[in-house]
Amino acid sequence: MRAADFAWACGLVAGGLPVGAWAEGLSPRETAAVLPPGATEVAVFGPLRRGLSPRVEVSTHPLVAAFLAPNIAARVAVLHPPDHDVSLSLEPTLSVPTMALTSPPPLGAEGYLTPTCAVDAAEPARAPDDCQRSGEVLAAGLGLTATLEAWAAWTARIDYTHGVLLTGERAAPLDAWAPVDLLLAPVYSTYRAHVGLRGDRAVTDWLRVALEAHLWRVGEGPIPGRDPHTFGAHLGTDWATSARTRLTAGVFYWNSDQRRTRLVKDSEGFSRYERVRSHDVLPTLDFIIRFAD
Amino acid sequence: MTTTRLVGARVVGLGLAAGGLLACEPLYEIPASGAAPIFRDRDEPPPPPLSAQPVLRVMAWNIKYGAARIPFWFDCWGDRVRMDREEVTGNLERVAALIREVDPDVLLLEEIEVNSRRSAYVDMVDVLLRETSLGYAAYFSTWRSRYVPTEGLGRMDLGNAILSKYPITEARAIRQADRTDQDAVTAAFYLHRAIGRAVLDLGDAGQAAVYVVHTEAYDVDGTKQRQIAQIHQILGDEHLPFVIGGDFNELPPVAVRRETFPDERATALCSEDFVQPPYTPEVLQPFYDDFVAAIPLAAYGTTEASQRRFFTHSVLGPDEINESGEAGFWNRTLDYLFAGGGSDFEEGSGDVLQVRGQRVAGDGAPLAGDPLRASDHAPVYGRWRVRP
Repeated sequence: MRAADFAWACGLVAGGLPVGAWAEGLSPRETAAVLPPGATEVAVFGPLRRGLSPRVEVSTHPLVAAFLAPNIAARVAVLHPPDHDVSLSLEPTLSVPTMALTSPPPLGAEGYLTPTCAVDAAEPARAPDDCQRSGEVLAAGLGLTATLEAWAAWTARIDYTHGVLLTGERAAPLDAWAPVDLLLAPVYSTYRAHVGLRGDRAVTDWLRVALEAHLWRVGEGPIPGRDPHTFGAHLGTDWATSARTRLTAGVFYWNSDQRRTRLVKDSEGFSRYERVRSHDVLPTLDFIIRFAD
Repeated sequence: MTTTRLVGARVVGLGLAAGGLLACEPLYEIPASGAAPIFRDRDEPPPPPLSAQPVLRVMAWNIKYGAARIPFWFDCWGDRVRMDREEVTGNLERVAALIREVDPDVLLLEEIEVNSRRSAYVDMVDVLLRETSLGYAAYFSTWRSRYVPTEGLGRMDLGNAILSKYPITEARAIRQADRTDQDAVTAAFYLHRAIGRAVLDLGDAGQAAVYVVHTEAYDVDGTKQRQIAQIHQILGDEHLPFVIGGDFNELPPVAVRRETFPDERATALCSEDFVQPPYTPEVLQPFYDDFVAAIPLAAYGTTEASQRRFFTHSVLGPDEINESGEAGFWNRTLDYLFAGGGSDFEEGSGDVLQVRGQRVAGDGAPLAGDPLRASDHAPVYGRWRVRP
């Protein structure tokens, strides 16, 4: 089934649910706004969000939480309209991302992204320090998000997530792809700090366009020599597919140091390696349903 | 490999492939035959001029990507998947020290890495150029991938290299046959073996060709035998005097022990992918028939005790024990040097550098370095008489 068909089918189902979510046009996303009490937002890839009170919402990725990485986040409104022009919220987060890394297939990545440590399991005394699997890490984060609605919804975000080692030792970063390394930075690189800016403007009642710019910095792993900064940009669109469903589609670009090199030749024909930055481009796609009790 | 693991590998591989489609760097590369990069250490003074019929010291060595005796997971005696930079540089310094002691004019290296996660991204070609008196190098990549999704290996650039005191004027990689006994995803992320050929400018002695090879170890479909046959055929077509060396992953035709080596586990703990298939020593016979070996077959003798002197490989090192409590020592011959095209080796000059204190080919000072702790392969040495 194509994504559009899936979205249309889901929209039909959701269209029968009570309470219109964006009857007055699509609302901006990724802002400091807190979901209204009793409102729930479900997404295919995004988190499950639930408004608990006028100032507090909680969110989690339920499938990821159940099988791969227990996680929960909250959003607490500090300032919000109509009392203030600017919305401001605090966002504490907690997750244990290492569960997926140390679990065997088919759900876990052991043996693929992380070592199996078969000898350690069979003969613990033979090479006791040789298993280079990451210990369990608790990733604790705090974010601050501010949104100002003027021509577009302008959202600035700053957040910091620290990986607290609960057991074992910290392993080396995967140095794989920017989004994967950023996700796992608290595990492998101790911390991830981020600032981002998003502009989100309605084009019509059923279409919004958003542009984002991001800068991340991660801690240094055990192998030195890697630029800890990653730059990112995202161009996204939100399409209303019913009164309470939307399809999001876009493209994300990351610019990072993934230890890539290239050969360059001098005038005499001799070569040397030169470090270059990596460019990763991935599509973004989601289907979001919002409803209320 | 179990079905679950295989399916998992495909899923992970396809996922990575899908992600990689939009990245600017390919997920893996299958190197084609063609020109290979040549590097130069500009600080190295020019070598002394050669006579018209020079004798060059040649050494071939599989250096296990600077891991010395660290037991990696595929050794099945440990779980390591990567090293710290200090480990790599320390191990490489011991490798370089042994090279400086032997002072070869031509050095053939296998399992050398230039930008791999498991070896802390150390450019070993550059390190060995700087740390030895060899001023030129050619590198032949045989395993290049942005991310190898096996045990968290990650970025990989492994290959073979030819280092020389004399200018390398041309370097070319010649692709070898890939294995056919792997699924497509595993095969894509696996090694793609290549023969490395370099042409040396020996001044008044003219030109000579140098080859480095490292053939397959774990196939069960005859890939290694096809690769060895291809090497023999290419050498037959060589028009320059040549020397070839490397890790053939094959026993000599006269080998007494052909199976049940003391560093094989009674029960495999790691993947079935790393179980040693039966050796086929007869495939090396044509090399002895048509070329000149640094160590002739007659030197091996007819007993395991006499052949032990020329063993070049062991999985376990002297500081590790097998399941019977025996410490590791060289237990089979896999590495060779051959010459041809009118050139040969000085009689009795062929040797395997096995232990500290040994005199290379019975000559010179005792070795201060310890080959047994520097790699899981021992260097093979010979004095090559180039006859243009």
